[in-house]
Amino acid sequence: MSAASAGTMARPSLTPPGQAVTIPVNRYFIEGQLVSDFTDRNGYRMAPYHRIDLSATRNGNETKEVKDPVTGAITQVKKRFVSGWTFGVYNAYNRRNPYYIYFDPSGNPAVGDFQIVAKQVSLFSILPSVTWNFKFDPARCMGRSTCLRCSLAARRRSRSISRSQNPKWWSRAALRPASRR
Amino acid sequence: MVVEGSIETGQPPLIFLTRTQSYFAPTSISSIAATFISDAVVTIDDGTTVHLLDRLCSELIPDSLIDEVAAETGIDANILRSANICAWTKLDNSLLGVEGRTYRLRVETEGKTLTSTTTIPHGVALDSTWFKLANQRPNDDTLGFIWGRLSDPDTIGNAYRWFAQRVNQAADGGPKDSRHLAPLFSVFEDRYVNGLTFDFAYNRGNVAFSSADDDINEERGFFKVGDTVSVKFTSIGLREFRFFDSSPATCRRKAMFQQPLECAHQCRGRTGYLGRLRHAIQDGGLPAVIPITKAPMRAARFAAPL
Repeated sequence: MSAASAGTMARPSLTPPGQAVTIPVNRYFIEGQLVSDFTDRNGYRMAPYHRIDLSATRNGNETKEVKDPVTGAITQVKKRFVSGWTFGVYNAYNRRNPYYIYFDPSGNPAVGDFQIVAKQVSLFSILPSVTWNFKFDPARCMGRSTCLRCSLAARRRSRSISRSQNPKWWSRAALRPASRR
Repeated sequence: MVVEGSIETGQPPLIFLTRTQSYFAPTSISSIAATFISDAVVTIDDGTTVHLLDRLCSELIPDSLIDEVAAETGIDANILRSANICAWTKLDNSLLGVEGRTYRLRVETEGKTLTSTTTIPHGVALDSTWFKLANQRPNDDTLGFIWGRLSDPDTIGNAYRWFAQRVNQAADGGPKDSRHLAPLFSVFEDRYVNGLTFDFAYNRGNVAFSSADDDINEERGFFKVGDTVSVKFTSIGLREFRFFDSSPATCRRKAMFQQPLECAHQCRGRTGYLGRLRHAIQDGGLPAVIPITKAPMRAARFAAPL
């Protein structure tokens, strides 16, 4: 907990004015069928698309205290596995951004109740999110006493210490007959 | 401005002039009636004579003939009764459609001039027609489609349009379909079938905005055992084919993903649109009849008062 990182605030995302679309502007009848007359290609702009996303991240400690089994010293080593949580909300002010517009006809012209209603489809309203992130380094020792790598390293360290403290071992090796090397 | 014109072999021309409406304008019988233009000079040049078409308005039609006129024109009878809808035609039959002849339409109204040209192609008749069950639903042994076999001439550029009418009696005593109806995407050309003999099928068309039971329930689009069907298979020009091929994509009823296509209009000098000059060939002088049941009833015909 002592090494918790501060939360982060996402910047609001601002986009250019709305997407260009081609929509019908007039209608006429051919053989009783309603035919739509469209604008020029991309002659109409939908409402602008904008939203604000907020998030806060809390990362776990990246180091922990490890006691050296040989020397007894306590050191800070990096954890092999680190995780954290991110809490966020997309479209924080719940804007209904247009995804597409379609036209829904209903009724009968002969009866006099025919009408066409334009309808907008939006994908998402306010959308909370929770994310758990983790990372790990397979090559990094986790500091356990049963770690094979650590024990081998400890053994190498002890050999190097004993060799340095007992040079006769080296001299005896140097005087060993060639047949016995 | 919208011009909807048609001329068939052996039939006089029929021209309607309307205006476009704002897409979201309220729709009532009076607002629809207001879109029809009643003041225009319409002429057709058949290559030898320039014929001035006669204006025929619904207020001059006796009430007893309104339903027949509605059936022939596709305009709702209520609209014909409540508003003065005008069309242009030739009442003395001095101008009838002839195969191979070119017709030039000229419309002058509201300070604008619209022109168009079309030629009635030589007709290509169907080899045969028959009914076959659709077999789209389990245990359904009554619903199906009308099939046709066509031998396309070995010349590129032929186009066709399919109409069908159920002439057997409905519950009200009249024919089930008041006129030959074309389903959506009822046209095709011979780009991929030039010179071939092939079979094809069409579903049943319906009157626009129909509220009939069999146009809403599971029978929608199907012909049914017990029906007597009159098929009208027409040869049309390529320009007419392009128009009818492009317009249905914009006139689906529930167009959630409506394609913003522009109809392939044919009118010059337009601030509006010209539909097409239509042509028809009838097999042996009468429409080909598919007897799914007994002898057909004769369909009602439009009779204009002189």
